[in-house]
Amino acid sequence: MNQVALVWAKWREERESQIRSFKLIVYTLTRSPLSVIGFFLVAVFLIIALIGPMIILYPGDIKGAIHMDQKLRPPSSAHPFGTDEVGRDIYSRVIIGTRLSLQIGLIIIFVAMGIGIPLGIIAGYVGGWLNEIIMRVTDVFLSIPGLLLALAIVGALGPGIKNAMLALSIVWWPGYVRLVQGKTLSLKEESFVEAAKSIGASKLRIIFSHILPNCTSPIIVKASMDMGMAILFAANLGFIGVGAQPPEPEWGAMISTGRNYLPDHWWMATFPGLAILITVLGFNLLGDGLRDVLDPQSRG
Amino acid sequence: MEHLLEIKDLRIAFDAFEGISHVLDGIHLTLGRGDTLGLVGETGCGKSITAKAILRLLPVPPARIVSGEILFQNEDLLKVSEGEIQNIRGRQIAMVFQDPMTFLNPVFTIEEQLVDVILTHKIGGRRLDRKRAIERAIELLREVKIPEPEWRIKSYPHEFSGGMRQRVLIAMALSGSPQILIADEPTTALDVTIQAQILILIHDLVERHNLSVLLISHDLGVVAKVCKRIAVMYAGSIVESCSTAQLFKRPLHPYTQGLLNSILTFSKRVEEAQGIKGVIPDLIEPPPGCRFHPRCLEVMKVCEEEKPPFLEMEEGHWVSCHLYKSPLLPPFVKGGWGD
Amino acid sequence: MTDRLLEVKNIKKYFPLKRGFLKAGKGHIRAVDGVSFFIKGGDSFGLVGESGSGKTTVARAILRLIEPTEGEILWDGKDICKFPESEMKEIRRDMQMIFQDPHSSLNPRKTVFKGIAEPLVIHQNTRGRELRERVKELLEIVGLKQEHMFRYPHELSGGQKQRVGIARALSLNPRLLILDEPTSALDVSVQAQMLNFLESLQKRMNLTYLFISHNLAVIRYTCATVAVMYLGKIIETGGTECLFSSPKHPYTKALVSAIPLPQAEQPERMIFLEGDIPSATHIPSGCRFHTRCPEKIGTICEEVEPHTQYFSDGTQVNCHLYSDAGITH
Repeated sequence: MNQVALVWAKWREERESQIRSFKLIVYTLTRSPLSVIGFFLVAVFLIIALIGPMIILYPGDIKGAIHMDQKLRPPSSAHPFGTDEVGRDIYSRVIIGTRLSLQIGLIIIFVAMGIGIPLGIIAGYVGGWLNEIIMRVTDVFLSIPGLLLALAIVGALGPGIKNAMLALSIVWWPGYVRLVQGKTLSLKEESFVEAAKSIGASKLRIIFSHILPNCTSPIIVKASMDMGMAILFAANLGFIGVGAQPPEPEWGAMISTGRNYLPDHWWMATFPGLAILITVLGFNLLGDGLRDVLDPQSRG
Repeated sequence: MEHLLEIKDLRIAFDAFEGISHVLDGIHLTLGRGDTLGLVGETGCGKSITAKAILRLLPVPPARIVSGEILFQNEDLLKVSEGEIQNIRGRQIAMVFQDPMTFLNPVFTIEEQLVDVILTHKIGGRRLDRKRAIERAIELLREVKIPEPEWRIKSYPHEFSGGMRQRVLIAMALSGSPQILIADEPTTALDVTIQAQILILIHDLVERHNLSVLLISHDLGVVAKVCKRIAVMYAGSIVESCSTAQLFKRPLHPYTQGLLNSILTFSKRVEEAQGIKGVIPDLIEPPPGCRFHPRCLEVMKVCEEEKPPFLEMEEGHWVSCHLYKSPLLPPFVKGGWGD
Repeated sequence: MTDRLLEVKNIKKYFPLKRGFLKAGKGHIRAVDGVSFFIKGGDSFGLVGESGSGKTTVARAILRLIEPTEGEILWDGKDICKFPESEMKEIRRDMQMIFQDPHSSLNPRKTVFKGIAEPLVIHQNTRGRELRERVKELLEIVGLKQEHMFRYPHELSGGQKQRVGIARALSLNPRLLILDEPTSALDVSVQAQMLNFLESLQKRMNLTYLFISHNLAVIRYTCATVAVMYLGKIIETGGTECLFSSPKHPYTKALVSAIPLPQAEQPERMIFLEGDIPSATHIPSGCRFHTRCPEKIGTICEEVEPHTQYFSDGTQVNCHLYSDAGITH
């Protein structure tokens, strides 16, 4: 037991400053009521995504089941969000849709970061013609409105959730290149990078050990805001019909179907819509708050 | 004698994550007409905060005025309305800051920025028209010794050197014909030879306009050039306030003596410069009693318990230290430059 | 074998000015325009100048953090200008730099421990307990406490950060330390401590110092020899005492008299230089100081660059006032 205590104490000592920084971040975040709301909404989103299967009422309704005798019922105690055109429980589908949205958002963001961050650092650090090439290609991608580009890509690849995610990743990575390249350019001039060179650090070491860790703040801020937007874009694609396909319980697809039943059977479109609203709002507020805490200079 | 500016027992606190930082712990300061007062202290002593407090430039919150008054022409600047303090800023009390580059907008010419400021002032009850404002701007640039001002005024800030930019800022400060000029580390960012020019300029302006100057610096040498009186600050309090001559001849407070000892000069060949042992105290949990006592070489028991009062020891020479109880009878005086 | 640990011969660094759409070079910034000096092992050599003098560029060129345009850098007699990066890595163990701004010369994301340990990890692959012991040792040498080991730079004061930088530089037992304004960012009361510490460190660890500063008083306190730079060239070199008590070059005179000192110390007449330091893109012809020189002789100063004059007291000056006084080489 004593061994464990020693290791724990050593860990505590080494991380003391980090713990303190973390507490400061939390404190500052809680100063702003909107950030707290954002955090709360995102927390709810994540919890629901996690425990989804445990709180739904009709597991069978998620994809395949058809209960034509219960179709188009308004919200009631049996079906809190009502039922859709084939009698499926909307509440259960919205809840599982949360999980789906989380997966979609995470995959898009991580793929975008995986491509964008290395390219950004290389462009910023190496400079010269490599930088020019990377940045011009990035510019081209950024000059096309995101949704249109995604539509074009999905149009070429064919509808479906996997292709939608791929398309959106392609839309998203240039933003990270820009962000990281800019930060790298300014970090390159800092004294501590020069100091690293003077002690004999190789280019690789400087990139991974000095530049990258100092990029994490703006990246975290961007990623948290992007989550909301990625989910929204995926829902857009689903709504248009080229993203998730029925019977997937994806919010956008659900709104798409529900649109045809407005206004009499309003609950079909409204509840997925509200889910999107609350999720995106939550991520935006949280991202804003994080930016004020971690990266104040990028405001505006 | 009526003072133009009087700060009475000013206490300011900052609400921070770790607690409440007591940055100013009862500041007493007076400035008369034509007076030149230097406010000297090291990092974190609160001198900049004092200057900003005069013009209410502190962000409130997290800053908080705990108590005290800042009297300017018999009005407490801490209590006047927002409109009134705006009137005073740049007009009756003007301020010049440390880094001239960040205080000039890089996308506008010097002419545009100067004229902008001039047009907001009313001279003789009326605002100037543009043509006269430009003339006044050129006049001001001439006054701060910028060569060939008529065509240099059309330049952009980045085309000016650091010293010239600082002169432009001084010109801007003078445009409202202020009674008081507050200069916060005006030469710290400048080269030594340029620094000398700026200090001479300030000295000239004081004589020509009977301007009162509050010069803030960490450099005793700079302050000695321009100011007739000096106030030494440590950890939120003024520990000694006297004429420049008195300070160098008979520094009373141990911190002042320590500072003088730390200055490297050409005469220090044999003895080593001492420095002052210890570090600047944490203002969230400052040392009890006299805030300097943990570092003081002459510390006594009472220093840990009570904060020493600010007393006048000899004519115009005030000090806050338990070593000095009765005026004109200090137990001993160490250091000094007259010996 | 020479006792000149470091010798710099006619170093030049020109930065090309890029203008125009195709970025064709149009002129240069002549930051360093032919600088030569040497430092003997164990000495303290001071390099003084204001902004634009090129002193910081010289320091960076010596470490090859920037590549000299021309000239030789002799380390222990060998010209390191042409060394490939792999050989430079070895040399880097021997010469280290203390940077000017302690607030930005430490990686904000690295703890004090990691910052100091890095050179050891790079060069000697030290690890684990051995690494920890060595870092503790270094902390002690620079006067920092163990409790600082896992702090982040933003939790330290300016003086403490500077000490971390020094510990990092000392980790590989260098022979030369280049100190770039090591005390400018520190408070007065801390400056004296830091300089005393640097002096005792030098004796203890048998170091050679190249001390760069704009503050003459600091240089006088720490260096035996000093060179004064103006706009990319050295205009006067000599023993510190000599140079400060009887400066020869008009710029040195102005520099010495311009330092604001407390009352009793001020020299009788302060020499004021009119105008500003010229831009390094338009260096004045002839003697580059002639545009501001209060002792300008005449057209010779505008047209001809003065040669170096050598004096018996060991001083060297580049000034037409002394054309006949010294011995031209």
